[in-house]
Amino acid sequence: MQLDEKPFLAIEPESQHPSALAAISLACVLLVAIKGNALLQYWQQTHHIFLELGNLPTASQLIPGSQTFAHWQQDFNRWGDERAERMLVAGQLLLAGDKALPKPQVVMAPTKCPEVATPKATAPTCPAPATNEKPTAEPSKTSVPVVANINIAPSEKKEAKTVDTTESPSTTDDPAFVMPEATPEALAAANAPIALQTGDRILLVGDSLMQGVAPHLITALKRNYNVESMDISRHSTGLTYPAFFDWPATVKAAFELENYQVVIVFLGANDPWDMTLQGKYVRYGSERWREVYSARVKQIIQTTAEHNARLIWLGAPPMGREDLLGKEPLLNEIYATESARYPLFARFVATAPSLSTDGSTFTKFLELPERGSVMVRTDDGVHFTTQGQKLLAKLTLAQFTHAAPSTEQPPVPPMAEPGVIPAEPKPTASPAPVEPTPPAQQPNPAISQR
Amino acid sequence: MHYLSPEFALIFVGFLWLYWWAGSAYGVRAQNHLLLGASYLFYCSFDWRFALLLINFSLVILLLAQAIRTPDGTRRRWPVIAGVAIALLNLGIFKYYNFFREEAMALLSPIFTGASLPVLELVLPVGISFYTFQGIAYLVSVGRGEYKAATLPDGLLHLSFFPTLLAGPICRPNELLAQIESPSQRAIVAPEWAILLVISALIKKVWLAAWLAEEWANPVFSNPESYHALELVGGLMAYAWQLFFDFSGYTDVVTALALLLGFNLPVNFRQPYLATNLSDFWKRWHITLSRWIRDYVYIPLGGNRGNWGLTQLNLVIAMTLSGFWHGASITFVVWGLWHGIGLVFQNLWHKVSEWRLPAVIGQIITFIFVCLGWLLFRAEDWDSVSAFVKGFGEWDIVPSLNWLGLLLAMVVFFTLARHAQAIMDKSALALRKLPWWGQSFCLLVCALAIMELAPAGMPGFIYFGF
Repeated sequence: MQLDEKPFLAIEPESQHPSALAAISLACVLLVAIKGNALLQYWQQTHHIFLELGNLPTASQLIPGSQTFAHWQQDFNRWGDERAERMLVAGQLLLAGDKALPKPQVVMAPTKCPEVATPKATAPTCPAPATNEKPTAEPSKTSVPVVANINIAPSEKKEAKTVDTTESPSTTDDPAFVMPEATPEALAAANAPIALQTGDRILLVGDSLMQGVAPHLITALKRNYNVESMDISRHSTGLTYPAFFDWPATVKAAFELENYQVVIVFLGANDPWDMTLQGKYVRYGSERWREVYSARVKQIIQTTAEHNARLIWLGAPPMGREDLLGKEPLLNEIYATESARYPLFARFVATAPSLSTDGSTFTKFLELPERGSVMVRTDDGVHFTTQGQKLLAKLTLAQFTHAAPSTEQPPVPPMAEPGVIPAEPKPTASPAPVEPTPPAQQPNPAISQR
Repeated sequence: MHYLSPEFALIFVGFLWLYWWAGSAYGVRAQNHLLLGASYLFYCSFDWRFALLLINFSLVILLLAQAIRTPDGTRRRWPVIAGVAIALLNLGIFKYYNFFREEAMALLSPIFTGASLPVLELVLPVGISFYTFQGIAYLVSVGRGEYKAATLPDGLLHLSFFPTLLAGPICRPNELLAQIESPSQRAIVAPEWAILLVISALIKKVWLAAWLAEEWANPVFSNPESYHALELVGGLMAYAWQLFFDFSGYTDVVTALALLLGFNLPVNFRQPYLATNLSDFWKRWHITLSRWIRDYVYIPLGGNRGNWGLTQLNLVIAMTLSGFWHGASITFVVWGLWHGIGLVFQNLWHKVSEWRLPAVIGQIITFIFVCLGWLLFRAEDWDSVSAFVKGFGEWDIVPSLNWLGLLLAMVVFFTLARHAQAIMDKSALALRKLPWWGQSFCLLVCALAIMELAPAGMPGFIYFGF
């Protein structure tokens, strides 16, 4: 718009501010009335205010035809997704040709079902013989390298299920889940570096802290272990306000879409705040708060355990922002305690020693060997500079090692410098903690892109 | 507080009622006092120390400007020199100290073993680059006799006017200060433009920029090794448009805010990706910064008053400094240099040949050149740049992003850009014919639709970091 060519003040001296103000004010009032709950959640999550208010009655429920509109929206979204899926497949075929097509699968006789490779949930019966021997170009069968910052919202779960019929049934919340016995051998194996092999998949979960570290981690894991990572981290999220974003449900939904061998969680920056539970105000640090927060941490760990995956919970770093000062130790205590309940699956890794001169307080500049004093934290007192992100990627990378070579496996690529300092060599450990990991399902790129 | 955040919207609407009531009851002066108070409160919402720094900076600049004119009517030079030096020192300490510290230590370490410069844990105050440049423009204008020194309240408001405080547009004194000083009653004479610009900002920033970032730019830039070369090309183009939507969306919303307060801000963007050559691009992209660099760097360096070679050197220096203004990083410096060298090549062509590329070819080449520049702009370090460039040779990976969809989006963006002005004019005309409640309904429906379409979350404006 060429405003400088429009002499507003010269042409019409009469001000229209009453009508302009009325128009804008009415729009704002209606917007608050319709989107009241969404706004409330946004303010609770970002500014930690209005926590005492529960759900607001919204005018949207009173608008006639709002259900119809919701159906239209769903239909429109579905239509858009279908077009996007088709375009994706067409794009893959155009660029990669036959490589974009899945390899035909051999129909296995039921008697040859490999018992050891059967996931726990499907153990009682062998899976039905595969019927998808035809080399179709369905997106669910194509190979995807890495999709960063995707959205696997829990609400998409139902739709995803209708596309991918090969997934195993969900076992989260399965009361029948029994923790395997933690024998000394199993514990020793679980405490050793986690063995990765080519083709393994890693799920990265967290808030903006993870969003900074994830790119370095993805590249390093890909180069050093030839594994694929899925970054579903999302800024401004955490475990305190599930109405705003529900991580336990999202992790569960992610496992229902695809299998992962490892989950890495890094969050907490948005969490040390009061909660409201059924209209009651729960103070940060109170017994009730700990109980509820621990349960949410546990849900994520249990989902991981039920899928025989390993979990690395990175501790919240020391915070420099005034309103967060000294709050992260409680979070870390909960993460460590809950991880210790699942010793065969989960491990807590404290980040403070790598980010602080004394191992506990916020430090903006660190003395690093060969680099001298470098800035590792940003001005906001929460996030990391590139150097800080690389330090954390290195710390995480040190939790892994190569799986013992197998005759059937392709040769492991040599360790490469991934932009982070390579992890210290660790002794080789057993690839799986207790049970053999089920074969990884091929991801569904069409779904993953949402 | 974010300009497009719900809390800002609600507080701003409340403020508007107070502001216009004060205008009708007590006049323009009262409105200015309200604006000054609101501007500092707004800045305090980020950090009260930022406001303290701003008031110190403003007072120094304004007092020096007062000292320029002598009683006999001549003008002193020293206040201008001192003011510019103080402004640049202030900016240098807060924005560039750690950059120079690390570079200086790297240079010193071979000579003085164990050399170390003190660490200053400084926080970069948001908007400092913008108000510094606006302050320099004011001081130099007064020093040149183009504008008279402002009174203290008007000068303070000129440097803290909240719609332009965080990321411009960088106003000349005759644009913003003249409106602040004007005794005539303020008026909103085209409310439909304000509403239209808010809708445009929501579409650009909350929907399109966020969508491009989430679906394309962020994945591709965070892990370029995992993508097909064409996906990297797509990601780079997506980032180019994301940047445009982000910053021009910001400009739209602050222009709308200013219109609702009875002010008219200078234009900052004119469809830059339709530029047919590089100099055309810089007349369309971040126009207020380009003209600042021209007026206060390029022309004082000598501009085109010397021979051809010297003119090109001045151009390269000005563009490199422009790059450095964007951030204390070597990649920003090289980005400025990239554009400077590009302009020199373009000028060389124009000097040796009369032949000009057809407009469409010129647009394509300019867009490719600018996109490659954005790679430097986005990259955090050289490793990221080299990883991305290396990825252009990767043709064996099965693509995982919907590149055909992006291609379609690109076609739509370029087509809309060609007709953007006409679309805006016609929309404004249609909106003007509606009663106030009709305009309100349009704004509401658009806002609701964008909230449904946009990815979750409220990402910050990219240019707030500069």
